[in-house]
This record gives sequence, C-alpha cells and structure tokens, in this order.
Amino acid sequence: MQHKRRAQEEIVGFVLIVVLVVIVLVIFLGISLRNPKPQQRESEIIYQFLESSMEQTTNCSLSEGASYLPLDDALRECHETGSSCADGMSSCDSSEDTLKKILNNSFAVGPAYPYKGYDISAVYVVNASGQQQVEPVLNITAGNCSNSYSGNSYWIPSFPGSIIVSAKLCG
Amino acid sequence: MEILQSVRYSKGQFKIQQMVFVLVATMIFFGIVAVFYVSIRLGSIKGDVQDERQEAVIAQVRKMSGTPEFIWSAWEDCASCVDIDKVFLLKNRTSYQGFWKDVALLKLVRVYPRYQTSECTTVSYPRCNEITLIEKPGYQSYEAFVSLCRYDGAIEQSRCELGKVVIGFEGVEGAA
Repeated sequence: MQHKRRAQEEIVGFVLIVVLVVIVLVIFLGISLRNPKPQQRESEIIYQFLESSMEQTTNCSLSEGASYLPLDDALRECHETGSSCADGMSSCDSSEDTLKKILNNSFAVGPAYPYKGYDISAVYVVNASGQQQVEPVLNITAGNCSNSYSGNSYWIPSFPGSIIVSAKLCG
Repeated sequence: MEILQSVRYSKGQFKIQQMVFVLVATMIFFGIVAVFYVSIRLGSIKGDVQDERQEAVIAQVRKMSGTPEFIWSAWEDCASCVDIDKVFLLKNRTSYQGFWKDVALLKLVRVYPRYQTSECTTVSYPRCNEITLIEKPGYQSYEAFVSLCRYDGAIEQSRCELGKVVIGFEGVEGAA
C-alpha cells in the first residue's frame, strides 16, 4: 500500500515538472510570436522606385514656355527658392501632388493589402562648420506604419548640401 | 535470505529502469521543443534568403533598361530611363523574334499616369498603358521600376513617366 502511494507521488511529481516546463515554454513562445522583432530591410525595389520617380515630368514650369521640371528639379526648386510654377501652384505643392499621384498608382496600402502603409520624406541635409543641419522639405504618409518596414533613400545634390528622399513601405 | 536478496536486486533494477524512462522522456520532450524552435528559425531564414534572391533578380531585370534596344540616350545621366518610342517600334519587328533567349514575357507597363487603353497600338500610342514585346505561356515574372521617356511634341520637350519593365522567364510556372 505504502509502495503504491510512493509510486503515485513520483508520478504526480513528474507530471508537475512536465506541466511547469510546458507552461514556461508556452509563455515564452507566446511572447516571442506576439512581439515579432521589428525588421528594417533595405529594399532594391524602393530604390528603383525613388530613382525612377525623380525623373517624372511634373506640371511645373517656372515660366510660360519654359520646360516642365522633372520631380527632382521641382524638389530642389521647392527647397532653394520655393518659387511658383507658371500655373500658379508652388513648386512644393506641385512636387507633393506629383509624388502623391505616383504613390497612389504604385503601392496599394491598407489592412487588406501586403503593405499597410508608407512614409515618404524629403529633407535637406548640409554640413555647416562640422555640424549637420537638417531642414524638412516634404512629408507624405498613408496607412499605418509600425517598426517593421522595408525602405531606402535617394540623394539629390543641392549645393552645398543634398536633398535626401527616404521611403519606407510598412508590412 | 536468498529470496530476499533477489527481491532487493530486482527493486533496484526497477528504480534504474524508472529513472532511465524519465530521462529518455525528458530528452525526447526537449528534443521535440528544439526541433520546433529550429524549424521556426529556419523558416524565417528561408524567407529572408528568398527575399534577397528576388531583389537580386529585380536588379538584373532593371539592367534591361540599359541595353541598346531600351536605353534613353538623350540624357547621359539617367540609368533608369527607357526610350518608349524605340521599344514601341520594336513591337512588330520580325527581326527581333527570338532575340531574347529564355524570355517568355517582356513588356513595359506605365504606372503613372494611367490611360483607358491597355495595350498600345499604332492608333492608341502614346495614350496607352502597356507595350508587350513577348508573351508566351509558362513563366515566372519579375518587375522593376523604370522611367519611360519620349519626346512630347505637345510640350516640345522630353517627357518621362513612371513605369515598369516586366520580364517572365521560361520554365517556371506561376507569377511572382
């Protein structure tokens, strides 16, 4: 009778250990699956997108009869002078409008799509007397962006600094 | 006395056997957990490798815009610019049939602005969205962003628009 009880106690002890280990593992797995590591990936596709988009001819010409500016020149004009186009729109508005239309046609974003959102920004960066100065030029966002995204950036020379256009596509 | 000794001996054996069973069960349990963990890790690594490969293929597809049949030579510093007029002229050229080996699909697609007509013809060009040079069944396709450039007589200057070059390789079914 005593032997039987002892054996039962041992089995209960073993089962308890197994149950404890399983609970710890389930908690560990639950935490690691619920909070996936944020992934930031450099994307060739986004670089190609930015590079090709910057060649897009905008509706902005600086005067009647002058040539229509490509998007990179419109962004440069937006930062350097902020001048208006011949149609009355500012160069900043014209570049933002063109980029928004391009983005709408290129990437469908939303909860039902592979990409949940995007964040495009253009900043002017210049190194003046050893210090880096950053001035915002343009920012376009849509949908929801978490810490996981693929992105890249494209540099437009604008003496003495550069305009850096960065794009993030959030998954 | 002899009987008692033999009983003690078999009880010890039973204890050892019990411990071995517990150890083996524990090892199997942790083994299964380890296999489960490794399979999850390997799954994510496989995904990363596939992404890297796809990016490499897309970079190769992009190089098509630099070939003499596609390149926009009016501007020297535009690596992504494709001469859409030149590509449209290639569309029905019999001398270019079989020129691109192992390619089952080759087309240019306009991304922005979009027009109502899909495939470009001599009537609809340039207000159309696609120029298909090759289309055969059975391929896996990859696309890369390019700039579609041409001289626009209406504004008397070159006009570039965002597009894609789409290439499908023979022998692999299903689209990317």
